[in-house]
Amino acid sequence: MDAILFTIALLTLFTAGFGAVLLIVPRDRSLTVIEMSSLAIVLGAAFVSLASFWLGLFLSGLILRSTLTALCIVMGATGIARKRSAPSILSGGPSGAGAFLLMGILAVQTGLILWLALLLTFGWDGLLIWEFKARLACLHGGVIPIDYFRDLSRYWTKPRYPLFLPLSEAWIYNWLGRCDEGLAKLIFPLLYLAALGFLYIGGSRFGGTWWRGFLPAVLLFFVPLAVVGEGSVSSGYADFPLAVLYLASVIYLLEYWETGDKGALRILGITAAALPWIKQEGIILWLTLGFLTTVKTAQRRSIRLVLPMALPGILVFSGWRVYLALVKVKVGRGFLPFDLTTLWSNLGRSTAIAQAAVIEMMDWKHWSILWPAALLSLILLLVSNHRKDFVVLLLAVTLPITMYSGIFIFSAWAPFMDHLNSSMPRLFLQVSLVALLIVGLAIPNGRHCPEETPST
Amino acid sequence: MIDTIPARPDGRNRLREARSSLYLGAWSLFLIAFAGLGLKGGLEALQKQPISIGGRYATSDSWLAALQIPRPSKSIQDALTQLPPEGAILFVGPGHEPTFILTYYTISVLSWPRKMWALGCGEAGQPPTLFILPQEPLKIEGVLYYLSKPPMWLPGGRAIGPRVTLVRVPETVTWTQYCSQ
Repeated sequence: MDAILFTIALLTLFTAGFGAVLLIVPRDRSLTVIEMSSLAIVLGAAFVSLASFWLGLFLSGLILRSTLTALCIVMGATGIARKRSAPSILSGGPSGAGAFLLMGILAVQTGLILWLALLLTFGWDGLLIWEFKARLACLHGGVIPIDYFRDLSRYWTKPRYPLFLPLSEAWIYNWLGRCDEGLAKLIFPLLYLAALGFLYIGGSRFGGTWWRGFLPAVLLFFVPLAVVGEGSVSSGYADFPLAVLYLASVIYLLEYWETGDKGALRILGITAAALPWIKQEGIILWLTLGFLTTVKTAQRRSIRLVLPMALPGILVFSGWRVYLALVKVKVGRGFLPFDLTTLWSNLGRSTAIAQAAVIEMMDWKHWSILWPAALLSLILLLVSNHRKDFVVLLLAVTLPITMYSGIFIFSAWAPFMDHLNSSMPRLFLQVSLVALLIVGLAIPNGRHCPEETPST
Repeated sequence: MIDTIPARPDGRNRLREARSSLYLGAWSLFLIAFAGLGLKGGLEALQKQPISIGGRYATSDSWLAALQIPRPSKSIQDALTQLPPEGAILFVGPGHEPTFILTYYTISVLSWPRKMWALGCGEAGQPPTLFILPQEPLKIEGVLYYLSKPPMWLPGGRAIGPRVTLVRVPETVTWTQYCSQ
């Protein structure tokens, strides 16, 4: 029975996600099954969690679950109805022996990720910050009670953190009729699949061959911190989901940057909007994307196009902040005031922070050789006359890393290096999938890897 | 994005072909290094990870293994049902004990909706080393003693296991008095 209920929970989530994709994507744009499924996973979770939250202000229990299920089905049906007039929406994927071999490797890797999800416990934050909120929602008919946000005995569970992950887990709990730490972890292999999908799409679309799509996807398994440890896909933290959504957003930003396609901008707006709903740092990633979009739209003298990109994110972020203000949630003391006085007095930390960032990037136990490889790949992209991609990819990685590193200037921890050492690997993980995409794009196309135009 | 030169039948482009092969070779080595180091790092990290025992308390049961009781999460939840849901609980134990804070966090997660505060006692005669306590006076319903015995002045509690005892509290006193000296 658990398997059936778990499947229903996931199917409704996918249905909503598919519907969202079909509604967002322009009618004249073709999508492969891989792109469609990857988007459906992340947008389905975003939709279910956001709708749970807003509907939960008025409904709870069976009524909430029934209403949300109906909404998911309506979303899917509306999307399918729209698809009828757009026959190319599900175009083919990669083919050929080489592609199937790499797909086989990816299948084995994904199986191992599933096994790890079942084998390992949550990490600290996975249980104490994220799953705990899902548990609360589960115990209160799908709604996190307002009392929680004011509970000073549990301020260490970070009540200000947004609810993408907890309410996605709670959706499964609500269907099961109980909290289940074991089954909640099964969401993460799906996000891993979405990450593989996006790496394939990004690599093949901008690299011109399926080869450049598959290799970064295969390499993901060999980035240790993406697989095991705090922040990884097996830990139950929000950092990996954030990395997946950021990768998706960068891909559509890159597409807009290259082609000026308004459809890409629309998808970017939606995927980016989910970032501040996953974790607080998501707003930094969203600002990065917003900045790069603004630069390009200004260059094209169509600055008003920033609005459809920015509006969903503004609504999601401000909606959550307004709610936190209304429930008078306790403000944590992790950081000093973000003002010039603090900046000036703590500027001396900069050298230590920069050193720590470089040391972290060179830590092969976390990253293998990802960061040196990404740096080398960026240089190769620059000399290969792909400067458009180079600029976007360079800034999409360096801007968040610079802001993430700079934020420790304002850390209230004593010593602040404890804060940095515990957070920096996870923060870098959030942009690591984009770094992996950069590596994929720089991989040469050998004689045994014929150029094919992928149908992404 | 890095396009290699297409092979041509004449021999004049051998140098370019050789460069292309060298380039591919370098990338192959890179991929092998990436995968090799990544696998080694991943396996090393895996050995440090706690293993889940599965089920609905897959993680919390694993983290509460220090309590040395079967199905610790369920046992704790069952024991706490004797306290009113609106009542607060104090978790007391040796603050220097490495498992203290994780055990407190895990039990706090399981004890919702009861508020749970923590008092990590110091060595005899020393002040507490770790505490999460309310800023204002608060009535508590029970004290959960972890790896420590309740002070003599408290009524005898109920042992949930060899390492944890739940004591109903008739009245609230200053926090440090709950440390057994």
